[in-house]
Amino acid sequence: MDARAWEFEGSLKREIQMIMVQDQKKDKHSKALEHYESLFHGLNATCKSSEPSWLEVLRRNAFLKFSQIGFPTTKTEAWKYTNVSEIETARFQNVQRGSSLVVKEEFDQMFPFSLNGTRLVFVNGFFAEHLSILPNPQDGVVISSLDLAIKTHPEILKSYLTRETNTEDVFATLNKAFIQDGVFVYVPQNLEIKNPIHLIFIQGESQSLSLVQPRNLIVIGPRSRASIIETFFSVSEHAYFTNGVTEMVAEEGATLRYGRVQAEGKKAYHVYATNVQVGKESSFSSLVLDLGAKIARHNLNVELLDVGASCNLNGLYFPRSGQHMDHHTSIQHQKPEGVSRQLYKGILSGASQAVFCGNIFVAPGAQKTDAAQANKNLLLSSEATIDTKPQLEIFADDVKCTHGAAIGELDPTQVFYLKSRGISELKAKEILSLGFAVEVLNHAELETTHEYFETLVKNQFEGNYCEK
Amino acid sequence: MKEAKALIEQEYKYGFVTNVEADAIPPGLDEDVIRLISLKKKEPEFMLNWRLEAYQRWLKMQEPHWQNVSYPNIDFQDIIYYSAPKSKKDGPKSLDEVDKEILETYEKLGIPLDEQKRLAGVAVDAVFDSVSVGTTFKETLKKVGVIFCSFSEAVKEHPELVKKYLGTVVPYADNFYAALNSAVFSDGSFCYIPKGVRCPLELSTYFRINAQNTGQFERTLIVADEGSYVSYLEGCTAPIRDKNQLHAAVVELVAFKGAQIKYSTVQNWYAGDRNGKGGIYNFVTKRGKCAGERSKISWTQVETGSAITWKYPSVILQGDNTVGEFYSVALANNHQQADTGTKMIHIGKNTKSTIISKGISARFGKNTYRGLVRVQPGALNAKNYTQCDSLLIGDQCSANTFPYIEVQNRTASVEHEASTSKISEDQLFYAKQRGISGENAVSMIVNGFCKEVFKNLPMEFAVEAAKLLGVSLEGSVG
Repeated sequence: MDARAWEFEGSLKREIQMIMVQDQKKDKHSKALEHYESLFHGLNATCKSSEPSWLEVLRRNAFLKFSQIGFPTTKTEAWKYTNVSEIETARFQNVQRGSSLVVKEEFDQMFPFSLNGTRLVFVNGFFAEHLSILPNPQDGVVISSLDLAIKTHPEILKSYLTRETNTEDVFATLNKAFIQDGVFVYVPQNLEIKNPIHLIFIQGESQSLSLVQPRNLIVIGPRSRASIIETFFSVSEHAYFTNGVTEMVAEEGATLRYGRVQAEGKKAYHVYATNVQVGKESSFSSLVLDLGAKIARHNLNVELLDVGASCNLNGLYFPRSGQHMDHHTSIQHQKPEGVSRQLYKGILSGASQAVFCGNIFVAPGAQKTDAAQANKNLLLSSEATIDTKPQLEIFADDVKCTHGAAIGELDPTQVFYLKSRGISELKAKEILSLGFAVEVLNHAELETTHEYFETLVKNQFEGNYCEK
Repeated sequence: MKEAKALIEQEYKYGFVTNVEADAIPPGLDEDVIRLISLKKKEPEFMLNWRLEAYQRWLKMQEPHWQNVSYPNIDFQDIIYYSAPKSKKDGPKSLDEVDKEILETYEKLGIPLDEQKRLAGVAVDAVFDSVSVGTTFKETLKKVGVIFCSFSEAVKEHPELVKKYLGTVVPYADNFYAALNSAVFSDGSFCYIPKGVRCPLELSTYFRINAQNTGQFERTLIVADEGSYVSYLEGCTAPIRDKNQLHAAVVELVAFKGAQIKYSTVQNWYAGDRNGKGGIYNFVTKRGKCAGERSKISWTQVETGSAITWKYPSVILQGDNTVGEFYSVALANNHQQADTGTKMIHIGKNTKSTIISKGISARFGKNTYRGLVRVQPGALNAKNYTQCDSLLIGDQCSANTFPYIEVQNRTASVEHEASTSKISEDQLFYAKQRGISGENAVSMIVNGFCKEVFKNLPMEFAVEAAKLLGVSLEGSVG
């Protein structure tokens, strides 16, 4: 064979290989879609009799949209640093309602925190009344499972669930196609809910590869106040997938506090969207704490819809070896005089990965906007990887917008200072890392739940987090 | 803010067309066109093959659309890929033989082409449309062994150097426009600084886009051998045209051990009229490689022209202890769009990079900073400092910041800061109260805003840049 022919053969081989790789990719996508189609039909068969027709239409349209878009790849800008092909190829299964019963003693053992106030517990995505503590009924306040609320308050639910949103990503669409249960909270005007409302989602040991898609809807009426704390907790060793959505609305003059703890099992996948609409002169504050899961992604979209709306977003993430944590936040200043603050910090240990992408959008005419964003990351290990992408998109001139990002390791002089005072190197690192993290807790307006978060953060440093 | 409004309205100062008979081939692109370009330029075979490979690759590539700019589709078959100003002989041998009109054009632009400009210390390899028409100070450079000539000349006289370095920093498969440039590039500048030589002059090139519908595809290659130093200046102006013109240049810099390259650009191409009609599309790939240890590459740019500016002068910090710098002022006035920034790729140990970017948006201008700082796993003790500030003038413009930071080494220290603000009424009032007119006050504030970048420009450019900014902004603040 002469050289030219060989060359030709080589290039032909390469082309065939490329076609094969493309086919495999195509195959992967279409197989995943087929799988979800069968799940969708399975769900339809079980809840055909019980759900209202508008919900069926909503779910069907959502599924159609999902199957048109499909799972994102790393070529999708929003998923550039988070590869979800593991989620795409795994064959997760729907969980049947009531398939795993957790008795109260078991729950108390499993979930070691005692939390005051209202508590709604969900096991494998379904409301477990016997584990929950509901408050005394108050005028017009609704705190119930979504499943029940669809029957008792169909009008309100229909109006909120069928709203068109432009912030929805494909996982939220998938969630919509599988709406079954979750939480519905409705607070009418001029009321203050004093105790925080705890929403606890636990994953039982029951089965591997379960697919849990909770959907929460929180509506806080004009000039009312409430705090919502979501906790995702599991000691399960199985792989499972939580794909949830929480929609929140804070109407004129309302105050809404939102806390979120993600402490899923080691092999879990967690993709979650929290979409918040903040009305005129109302304020929203949040703290998200990421501790568990193999791949975790949280999208926090805040729309400041009217004049003088404000938000204060805080986040802390502690990925260990083998964990991947991704935070995407988006703040949209639609009207003048909005204020937004943002502080996200990460402490990365072992061969872990973290992603932060924060977008601040200032719409034309949203003058006097004051937005500040900071993302700081501490790398404790030489194998850790951080990708950060703070973004500003500004279409108004009379604004004050800043963002900053910093990445570094612990200051060796500070470590030396502590060591010179008889503190071991490991302890010194712990003290400094904790100090780094606590700033976020103080920045978030937590009030009564401060202690809960502080305990969780401190627990994180046990087990030689800083050593690796 | 009325004074400021009066500032934007000024028409483009350098808008004129020189009537030179252009030796152009018909619009369109295929292999024959590339062969023709190569033939006209009497290139050796390796060059033609390289062009053809690039062309084949380009055919398979898709036009990118991720950038934050919008423009009508470009018909690549409607572009004239070669145009050389005609002259009586094959080419001018000295300045006397250069077309008078061309010389007048330079005169109008204030380009120091003739000998009396020697005091300015500038050697000019002026590119008029696509072929170099005059070169000065060659002798001075020759004495110290610096090769500074047009790219076509370099291909003929120093094929071994061209062959060795061409495409080593920006391979032809790098991106869509780099591939197009590699296939059809007409001319450009080539510069080689031998070992240990400090280039005695500031090297400079002026590009002008002259014949209508001629896409300019410049190619610049600068190689700084061990321990050498060069400062290179690039400045541009172009006449008013109604039809949009595409400019897709490629600039490659290579710095060896201990070498230092300083690359400065003042870009003032036609930006289109007040309503966004016309103007140049400036889609450029600029990249430098700090190949040897302790080398340094520094980009300074003042981007005031072009309807669309889309470029990311980047530095690959490959050697240990290398330094990359990027200083930029980008102005988007009227309907101008700028998506510019840099990429700093930290590969070697103890590498440092600094990014200072100042974006100014006025009227309907759209300004985007997009930058990447990547610290590779082996880049111990990498340091980066990034600051990007935006100044907004008027409530219809926009400023965007899209930094990408990717860190894979814990010893890295990366800082990013960005802010957006406007010229406040208070600042203007303060200035006016002290007897400074609004216009001067705006100019002062803008100059102060850009000071960190201007101070990195060579003297004569710093003066021009400050003037340019003033002219470009005239009437924009009100």
